[in-house]
Amino acid sequence: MKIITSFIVLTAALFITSHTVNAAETISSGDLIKASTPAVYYYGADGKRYVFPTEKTFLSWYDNFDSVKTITDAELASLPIGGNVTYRPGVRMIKITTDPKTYAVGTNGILRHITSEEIAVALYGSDWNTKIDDIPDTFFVNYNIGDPITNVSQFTPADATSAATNINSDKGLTTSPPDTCTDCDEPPEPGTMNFSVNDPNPRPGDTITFTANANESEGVQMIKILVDENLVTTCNNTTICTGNYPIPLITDSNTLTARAEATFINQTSKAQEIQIQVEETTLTSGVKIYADRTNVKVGQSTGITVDAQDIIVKRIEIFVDGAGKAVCESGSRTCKYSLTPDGGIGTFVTLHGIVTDSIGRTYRSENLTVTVTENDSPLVTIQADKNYVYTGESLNVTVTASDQDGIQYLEILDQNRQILKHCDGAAPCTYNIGPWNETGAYTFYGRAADAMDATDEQSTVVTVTNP
Amino acid sequence: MMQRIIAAFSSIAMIASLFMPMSAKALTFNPGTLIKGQSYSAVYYFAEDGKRYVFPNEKTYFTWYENFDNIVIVDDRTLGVIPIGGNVTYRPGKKMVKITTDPTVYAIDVGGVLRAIGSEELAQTLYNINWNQQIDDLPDAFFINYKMGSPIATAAEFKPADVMNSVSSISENKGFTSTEAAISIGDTMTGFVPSSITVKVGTTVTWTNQDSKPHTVKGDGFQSPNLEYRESFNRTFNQVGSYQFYDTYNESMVGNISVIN
Repeated sequence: MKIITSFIVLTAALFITSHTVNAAETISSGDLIKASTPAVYYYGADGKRYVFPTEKTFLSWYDNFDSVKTITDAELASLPIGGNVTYRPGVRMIKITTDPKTYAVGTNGILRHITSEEIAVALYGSDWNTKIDDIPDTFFVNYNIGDPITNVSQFTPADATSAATNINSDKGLTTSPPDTCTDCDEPPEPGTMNFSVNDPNPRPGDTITFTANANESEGVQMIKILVDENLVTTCNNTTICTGNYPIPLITDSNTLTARAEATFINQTSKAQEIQIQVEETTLTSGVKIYADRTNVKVGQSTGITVDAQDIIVKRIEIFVDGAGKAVCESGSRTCKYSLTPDGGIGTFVTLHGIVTDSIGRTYRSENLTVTVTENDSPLVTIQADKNYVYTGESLNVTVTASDQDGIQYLEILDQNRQILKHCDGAAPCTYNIGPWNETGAYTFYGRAADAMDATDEQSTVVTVTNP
Repeated sequence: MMQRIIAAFSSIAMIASLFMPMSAKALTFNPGTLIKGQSYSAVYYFAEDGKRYVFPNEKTYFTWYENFDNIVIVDDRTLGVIPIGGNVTYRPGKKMVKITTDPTVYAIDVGGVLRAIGSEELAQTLYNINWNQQIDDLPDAFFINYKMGSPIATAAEFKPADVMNSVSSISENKGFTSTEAAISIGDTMTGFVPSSITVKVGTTVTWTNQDSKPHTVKGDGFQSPNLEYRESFNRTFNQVGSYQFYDTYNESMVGNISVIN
């Protein structure tokens, strides 16, 4: 930094002595400018000068200082400072020393958290860690945090760089229209409005709460809250207005636009919009949830398993009474959680699983209830000796069960819950089925009853294909 | 120039740390506390919005504080969980500033608003005979942290001592009120940051997930939905008491809010 600044001082000095004592150069929007001090500025389309906070910021946009034009100190002083230049999008990644997150830079200084090393490698190559600049904490405020990059398709460094052709376009700077009215009566300033929602990503059936907070020195006449132009609530003569809105189970679009409109006593008004993105969660039989036992004794635990089929799994979450309890992010199709309900006899908890796929779609299982009872249900397992068979083949299905009270009987049922075989006592119960003629997927249930008549069921699926 | 200032600032902070009691696991700090990381020298102001504010240079720091006493040291991971909210501006009224490339001298009003002082006479009326020793050069890159206000027309408009006394803290200067507080949700290593705070009755506490994994906040009588990265949940505490809360995903992540009158 020091070397380069002295370099500028030197060239600038040479330039001035050798070339001219005439008026300084004419400058136009997009020029790099300096005066007698070494600092170089970007002359924006809005007539303001923009500061390069660090040398590295400059070098993300320019290879050298060749095109810097020199103007007089008085001219420079007459140009107000518009702000700081941010890194050219895509060129380098940045971080701050006191935060482990690494960010890619998007348009106009939007920072996008790179969430994994794999993504960093995919975007910036195997030497990605040589392409990170530490920026001082003090300049972090020049940037805005955007959405994290969780998938390589969400950011392409080269495209981001080429889209930002210059600092004017990156910052969206335009020539401001001439001020035609300098001395006339200013219209009253509108008041302020702060509109928020407790949950911008609700699911169908959720109720969301909007809060609109409006202020103006003379007072607020009315605040209205609307969702997709439908009135949710109207509040008169108050600065804070809240309204509840239940998200419909079926909507035309997953995006709702909520708007708050405030009318002030001084006859000005102010409106603010929020986009509500309804999380589309598909209820699907492809996500199954089951418990090792659905009746547990007080203090007893049971394994809960969520299985996803035909979904490219990114994450599986298990919810107990609506609260997330376990999250599996290994990409495995199965997620397990050990549940110990904390209520007394007669209480129950409701569980469901949510699977997020690799592109962010979510799928939900049916609800499963686990009840706390005096007697726990038997622990049942059902197994087929083969889960994939060809037409013409046969297979054995075996049910076993255990329980402290002893097993009264075991049963094997078909997918219509017709009993195929009934076995008294605790010995394993096996049923031979086949030969199979029709292809398809068939579910078998194993059921067991303990000595106190508590029953439980588990299932297994057999797929029949043509050879 | 700027680097030199920051370097000097850092070294002072380092010296300060030598005299401070080490309380690395101190996770109890309220809005308005000065914090620093264990191995970093920079000192931050922890505000009501749960964010840390950067002192751009030593001069800014010393308009608010006389020394480096009462700084809470947190471990580096914990510091990383707290997002940066912005930069601290000069204490209003305390000093005048200018930038090197513009001769205009500005007084600083509440909220980091710059007000041009039009003449030497006016500067002398406001800041006495030695007014020209009370002007700091503001690096260009920090100019953007300030807002431009109207010029000061008459001395009656701006009384430096009154302006200075009208704000007692950085929070007040930034417009935060004591009816808000915020907690960042980190990972299982850091937990909630801070994990314990004391607030007044009527305060709204906002929890924001700063971790890439989902978390929740559950306490007696309140429960958040699943919070993904950067999602928030808030609750207003209208009753005196001690409110424990935890993350249903990771029940080892616990915190406490003491609500007092």
